[in-house]
Amino acid sequence: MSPSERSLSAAVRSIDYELTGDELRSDRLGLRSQVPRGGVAALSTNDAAVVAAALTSLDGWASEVRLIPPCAELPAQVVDVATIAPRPDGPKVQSDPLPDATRWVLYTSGTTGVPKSVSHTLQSLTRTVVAGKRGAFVWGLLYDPNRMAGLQVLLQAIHSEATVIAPALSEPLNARVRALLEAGVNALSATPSLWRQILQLPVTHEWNLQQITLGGEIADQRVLDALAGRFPAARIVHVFASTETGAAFSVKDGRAGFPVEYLDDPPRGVRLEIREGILHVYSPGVSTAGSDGFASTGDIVEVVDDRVMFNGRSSGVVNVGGSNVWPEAVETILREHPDVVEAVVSAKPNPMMGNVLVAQVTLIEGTDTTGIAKQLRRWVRDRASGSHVPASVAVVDELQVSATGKVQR
Amino acid sequence: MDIRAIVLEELLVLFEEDDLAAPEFEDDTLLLETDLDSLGFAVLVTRLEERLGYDPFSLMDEPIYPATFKEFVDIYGQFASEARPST
Repeated sequence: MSPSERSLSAAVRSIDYELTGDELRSDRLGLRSQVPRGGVAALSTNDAAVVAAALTSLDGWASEVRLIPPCAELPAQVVDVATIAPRPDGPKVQSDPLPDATRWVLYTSGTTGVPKSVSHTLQSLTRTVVAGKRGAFVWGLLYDPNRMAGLQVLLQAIHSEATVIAPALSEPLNARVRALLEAGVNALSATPSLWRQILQLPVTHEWNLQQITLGGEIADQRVLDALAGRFPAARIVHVFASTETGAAFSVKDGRAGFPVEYLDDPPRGVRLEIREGILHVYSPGVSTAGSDGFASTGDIVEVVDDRVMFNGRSSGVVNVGGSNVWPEAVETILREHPDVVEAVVSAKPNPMMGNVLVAQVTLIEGTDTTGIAKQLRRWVRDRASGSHVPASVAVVDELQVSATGKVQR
Repeated sequence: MDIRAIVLEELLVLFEEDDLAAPEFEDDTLLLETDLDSLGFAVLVTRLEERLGYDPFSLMDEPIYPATFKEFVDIYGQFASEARPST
């Protein structure tokens, strides 16, 4: 079916379902008939249309909805509530909204492999959603619909009555991009790392993208320039969103960082200040806010001419292709290996992924070093997600120690 | 050892370490049609920098995103002279 044959009013098309905006709003999948009003629902699906149906049908109906990525290993009590499965002919149930906002619980991948839960309301989820022109776009979805970035795309589409095309996450990127192109997708949100991969696909030379959004990690000038060159008709927006403070704003001029004027003229009402090299936002409701209402975003910034540029994270957290990784966590895992005495893991800027991790280790005397780098990478991979695996592992005789006794990264 | 052979060797090591089936790398092999993901790609660039002493992707003024194996190798060849110390 070509895109012109379909109604373009808010529809979500995934592998298993194609739901129009009206079907989404009228609970076509019958989700309400499976969750007691005010009850807790656990939804375990990778299907974007089902997640979109939950957003439109269960907010204001369930007290809590847990969005569980099917691959996540969670304690039984997390999933052992009204686990709902879509029923395509479920009856429509009418009701008044609940007194309290529905809690939307997302599960993030933790450093130890055990997912961490984060609770939101629809209001906090939509805070970073930029309203688009109604029905103007067909959005592609490359993100997992259960995670923040994927939910943002779905919510944005629901709000602006746009269509979403969601190819199966299990397909390789080139197949998914081809599916989006064939479906007439003209708007796409992805991390800079993902965009760099997309730019490697020759098929994208024929893609007439109108809207490009970058988020999740620092957008550098190279990737912005490359996107502008490849997709001359596209409006390119990079989004800055701080999970610590819930603040978000976007930059539309195609240049890395954000204009220094934002410090005096708050973007979308987000008041910004730089204190001791760290970006702070006015966010008095946040527990970490000081007495004047400003809270740290944890982002190290620097004013370069007329721009404020991002230089990494103050906490030492490193962004590897859109995932936050703590080098210390990888050091701990490496030290648990029977042959390792000490390990130092540091971030190395990388043109593809923003950063990669590199490790230096000292080994127990007499250890056979043949194939040890491979063994240690495997050791980390078995215990944490892929972004934690060091790109390289160097065996050294001793590690540099600073005057304060700390191992130098 | 020429650059192509070095790139190929590092690629094969990476595929082997990640338990992936390495394809036959031809000039026109599309890198993204192999099982190498973006992290794998980043790892490859890091290791080649350690081995060759330069990272062409951070040296280039205009960003280039290689699609095929040959384009990838050519970028390393192209920047080999620029990366070498002039003395």
